[in-house]
Amino acid sequence: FDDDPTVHALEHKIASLVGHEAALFVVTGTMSNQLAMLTWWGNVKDRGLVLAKNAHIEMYELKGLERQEPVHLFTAQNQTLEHIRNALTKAKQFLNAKGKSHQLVLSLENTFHGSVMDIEKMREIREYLPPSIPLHLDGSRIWNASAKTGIPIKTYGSLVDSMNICLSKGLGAPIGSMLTGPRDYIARAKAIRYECGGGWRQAGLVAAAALQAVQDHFPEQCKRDHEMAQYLADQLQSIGAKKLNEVDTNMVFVDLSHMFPGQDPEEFVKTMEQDYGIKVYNEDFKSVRFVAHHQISQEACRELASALKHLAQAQADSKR
Amino acid sequence: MNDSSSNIKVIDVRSDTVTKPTPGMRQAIATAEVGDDVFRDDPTVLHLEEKMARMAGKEAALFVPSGTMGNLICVMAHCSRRGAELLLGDMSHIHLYEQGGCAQIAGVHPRSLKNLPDGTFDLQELEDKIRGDDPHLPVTSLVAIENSHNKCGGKSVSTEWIRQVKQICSKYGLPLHCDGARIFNSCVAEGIDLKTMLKDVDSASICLSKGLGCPIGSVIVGGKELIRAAIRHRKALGGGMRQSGLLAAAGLYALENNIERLNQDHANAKLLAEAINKHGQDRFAVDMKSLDTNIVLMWVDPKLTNPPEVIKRLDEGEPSVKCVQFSPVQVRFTFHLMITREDTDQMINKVYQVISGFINS
Repeated sequence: FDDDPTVHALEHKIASLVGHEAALFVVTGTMSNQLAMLTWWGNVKDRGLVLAKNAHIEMYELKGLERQEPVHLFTAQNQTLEHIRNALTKAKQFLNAKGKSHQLVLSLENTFHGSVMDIEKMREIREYLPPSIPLHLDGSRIWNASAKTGIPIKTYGSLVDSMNICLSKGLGAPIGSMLTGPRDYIARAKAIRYECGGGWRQAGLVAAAALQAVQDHFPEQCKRDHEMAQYLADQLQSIGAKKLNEVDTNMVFVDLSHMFPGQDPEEFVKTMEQDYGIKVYNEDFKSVRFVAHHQISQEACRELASALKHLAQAQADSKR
Repeated sequence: MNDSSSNIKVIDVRSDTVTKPTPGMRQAIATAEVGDDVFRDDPTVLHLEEKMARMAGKEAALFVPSGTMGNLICVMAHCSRRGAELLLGDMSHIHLYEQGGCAQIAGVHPRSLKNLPDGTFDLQELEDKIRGDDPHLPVTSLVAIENSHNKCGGKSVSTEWIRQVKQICSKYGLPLHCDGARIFNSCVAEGIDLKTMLKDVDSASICLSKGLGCPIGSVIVGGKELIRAAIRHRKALGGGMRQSGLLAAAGLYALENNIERLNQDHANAKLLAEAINKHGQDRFAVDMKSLDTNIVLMWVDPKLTNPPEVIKRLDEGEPSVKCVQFSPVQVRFTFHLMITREDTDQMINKVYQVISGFINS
């Protein structure tokens, strides 16, 4: 019934933080991105989406974009103007050949796998983009980008037409994401969300948590998370993990394959939890991601490093 | 209940979804233990799902953000092949009020069966409409029922009828889903427990945010395989919440405290219905046969006035009674835990004033 005052307060706050006309509080980032695309596409038949290879939407969110109308995906190697331009050109050619009823959308992601996307690169792309192609920013972790660069979220917002911004990640809220954009766009998104069951009731409870999170955690806590990630990276290196990235924000990527040769990632995850009481996520030892957040202490980082060293040693020993 | 912006007392019977968490429920929410439900390690969510599965007599359960999503997920999980067809009542919530998500998102063809005033549909019509094996035809993949039935006025459908529907489904190897948004209202009205009520269905979507008073959410129940598939569909739709234990805690509280009291909502609904019939002079009437649970559908004589006019008059002045139009000739009042006996009396008074106003004009 659109009469939850706390949700309205949150939507107001985030809209002005991003510098967009309006905002919509939704259950998840997946839903937010989904609504973003569906709303830009409207009722056209052929739907085009350009995004970078390995963008979160490309890796994990495509299923939710499927409707009766086809979605044509065009991936760019990375988020530089050159590659985005190539993908856009291919996309435009393809869609023009299809017929009149089409709409292309470009989606950028910042931070991208924990790395900040240079605002100058964003600006370049924005300037290149014609007005007929809306620019969406999957800014799930835009908080981290802004805390790292010191550039206000509003500045990022000024370069894009719509943005997804998550409250439930580093910011610490239990649930929720926001979709921001022009007023009539958000009004349309609001109507579309019922189709997948996104119309929730007394969401003010979770909005209150989100408001608190914004107040408490940005930007200082984000900066602390980045420092913690650096500390974590150092700890992991000290036990022999091979560094895969320069820590930019809150994520550390390491190669552990030499420490756990021939081991099963699933077994590893189970053992870490059962024997060491540490919850990790691993699909491939060649690239393991660790994410620092406000509930990770330096002691925890040391414990993790020590546990990995111990486990690697134990497994090497059991082989002899 | 008060409208804090002016000081007029507001009695909100637009829907039982307007229920706000009580102090006890808020306490449960504030102290809930949480985890990350996408990683399936939120203990409170798991506890709620376990409890609900047990109560429903099903293998497993899944907490979802809304009943619409709950129904959609079940349709997607049951209808995994192309060209699937869903048989359901023509006045069912899934068919009328879920934005055609089954078609839009699941790509499933809905085929409707005529809903009878008691919330059921004709068994022969059901059997006749089950498709044969012919390339002209879609593939019937699911039958859905609704209990209690919203559009039929919160009607509780008979378990005997459900058993007969199940018999037909079994004959043709079809699963049976129940949109049980308000199933607890039916259970309490009939004096039947949830397990018995759901004995003959394969899956159900049960709302926590309506009469049970939770702020958000529904739970779907079904077999292990169905729920396993449901977890994927939920994520794809954008329903994979994180520290949703907060919301699940409200659900657990409601299952402990708010089921039996639904009787009071039914009693209050009956009081209003009786008052309308007493004073309505056949220009305003409630079909008592359809009054099973917490929903009162008041028919408005089109020769006298119309629902928008009635709603407007009920809204004006003090107390302001907020209800909704349900059809070109019906106004719906939905009772819930925020409507006390005193509120009901005041509402009856107001309704009496308004309908008398129309009758005497």
